[in-house]
Amino acid sequence: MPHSDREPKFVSVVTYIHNDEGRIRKFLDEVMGKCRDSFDKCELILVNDDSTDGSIDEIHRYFSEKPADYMVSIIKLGLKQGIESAMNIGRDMSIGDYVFEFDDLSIDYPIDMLTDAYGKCLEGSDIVSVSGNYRMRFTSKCFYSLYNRFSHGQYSIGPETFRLLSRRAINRIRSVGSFIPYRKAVYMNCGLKADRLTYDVTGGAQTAPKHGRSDERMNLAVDSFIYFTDLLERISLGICIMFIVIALGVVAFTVWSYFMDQHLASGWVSLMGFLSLGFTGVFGLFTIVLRYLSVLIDLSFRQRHHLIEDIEKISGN
Amino acid sequence: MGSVYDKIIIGAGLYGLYAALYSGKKGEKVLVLEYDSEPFSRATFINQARVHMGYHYPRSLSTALKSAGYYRRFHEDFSFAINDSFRQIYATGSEFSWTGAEEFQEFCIAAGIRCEALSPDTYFKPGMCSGAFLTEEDTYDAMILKDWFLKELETLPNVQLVCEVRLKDIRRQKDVFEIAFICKGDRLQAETPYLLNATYASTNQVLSMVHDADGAGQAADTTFAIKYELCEIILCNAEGDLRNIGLTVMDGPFFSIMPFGKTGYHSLTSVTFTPHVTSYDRLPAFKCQEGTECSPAQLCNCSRCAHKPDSAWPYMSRLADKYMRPEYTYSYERSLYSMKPILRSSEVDDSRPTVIRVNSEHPRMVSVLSGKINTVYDMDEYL
Repeated sequence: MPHSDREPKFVSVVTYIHNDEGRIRKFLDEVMGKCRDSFDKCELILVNDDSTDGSIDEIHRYFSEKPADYMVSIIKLGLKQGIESAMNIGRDMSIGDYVFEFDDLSIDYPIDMLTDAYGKCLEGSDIVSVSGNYRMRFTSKCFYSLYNRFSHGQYSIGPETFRLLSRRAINRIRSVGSFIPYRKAVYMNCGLKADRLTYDVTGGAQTAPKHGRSDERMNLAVDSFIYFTDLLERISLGICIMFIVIALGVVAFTVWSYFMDQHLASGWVSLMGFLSLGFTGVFGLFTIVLRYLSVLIDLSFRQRHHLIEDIEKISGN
Repeated sequence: MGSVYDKIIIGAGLYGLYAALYSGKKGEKVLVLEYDSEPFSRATFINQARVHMGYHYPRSLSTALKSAGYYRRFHEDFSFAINDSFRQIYATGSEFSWTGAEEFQEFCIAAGIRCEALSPDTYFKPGMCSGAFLTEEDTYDAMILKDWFLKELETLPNVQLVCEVRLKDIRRQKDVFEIAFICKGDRLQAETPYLLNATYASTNQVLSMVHDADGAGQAADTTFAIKYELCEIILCNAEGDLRNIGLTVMDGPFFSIMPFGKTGYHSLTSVTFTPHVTSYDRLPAFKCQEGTECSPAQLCNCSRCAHKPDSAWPYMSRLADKYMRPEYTYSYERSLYSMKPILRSSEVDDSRPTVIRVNSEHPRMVSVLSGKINTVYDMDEYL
């Protein structure tokens, strides 16, 4: 039945699934229910990142009990790839005019946040991120403040519960570069208008849920610094300059000793002169090599591999 | 006792009429039986209309080579029905393709078929496709083809085409098949030592109707292992530059939009959204058959069915828009639906797009199942 108050839009919901057996039902009921009520056409893309529990059976059970009148695709990844590449695959599969990205199935927000985010999109923001007013963990706080300080991005980033992207934003992201190691960072720097919505967390949790294991999160954090900020480059540049200064100091000291100090062992001046000039050269070269490496990182942004084992379609229109 | 024919052909699609013409020219007395009110009403008409050159078989070079040979022959025989006035472009998707741009190009060189590299950005949004190639492939116009076949058959008084036929019974006698059918209220019967089952989606239905005369029941089961997909082809009005090009994105979430013969329309299809519902039964059983004449024993014409599914236009157009540059615009005209039987084994094996099976040696019964128009020549050795 076409509802007259439905937005005449096609919305894709992309969701990350990793051992979420217990939370799938509620998520599908609430989020997909809301989308069905609010939008003309929907599509659900579940990216199964190597779940080892009964998540997939639960999804099948759910849709055999309540056949969907929207398209459902389950992407099965060949091996565990982590949330970022899994969600990249899901987003690239989607065909909707607007795409919701859910990194996590837990719902601690009022369900109307979905349509609020859509409203923000209509006001002209191509990227809307929605976050709870959690107390941030100390490590997260450090990461985000360091990141935002050194990324020189258009918008700052923070913890997010879900986000909404317009098709225009997705096209733009693709033309900027094809490799997306950290979605938030790319979205916020694609040059389109972004906005942020905050909600009061319902239920007990006061800290944000963790996405992924802590070693994965650590890796992602370090990678993000390398890719999106010049922090590491600056640190190494600083070290190089420091050593160049020391080397030059030694040169100066050698020259000074040659003229002032009469008690030098023979050969000391030429040895020290050679050593310090040599080190100055080595550190100079290091600086150049570092610059090259950062250019190489930019180039390898164009490489990507999606490792999909299977795409299963449950139901159509 | 009905009239006797050298051959009886069930199904007036391209394969049926080709066989009728081929046999008719040899002077044989041929009867063609068709369910619908005119020939070419189903799969021959309702498909992408692609005259296959072999680009679809990057996993099977031998099939590709055979396709290319048949393509040239089909081109010579039926040039009047072919639309080759557009640029047919194949592209490999960046993300989900099992075949990359380089593999595709190497494959084309090996198969000796045209493949001229173009810039993907000319046709597709930035970053969406890893390669785009100008190819030699075109589409046929089923209605022009139909008129030609009917005109040719008219010159052969020994070939008779009967439409609106309801098959009732196929009985295998010692030397002949006895076929009982109803046509426009009349109960008729015919006999033949050679029965050709050229019905495509109904092939198992015809086969399961055959039984032995001695009352022993069903003849040995020679049905095909197939699944059935109810498929939708969208006809749309291409605008501007899109009028003169056809685009096919290979593999993965494959879609294609290209001229539909000489009708002036473009056909839009996609691997994910063209099939609506699937039946895995030997005989096609679908929920939508309830309350219609259509049944697992006899398929009706899906395009004319009151229960045909809603169009997947919202999905297919968005998939195409996701890839194509925004200046390529097109609008919805109408949808055509047809049942497509898919050989179970062909899902993993590219090597046999056409299967011809001899179901009975004496009397002879042959069934042909093919989703490709230009492999029609495969039939020559069986006729």
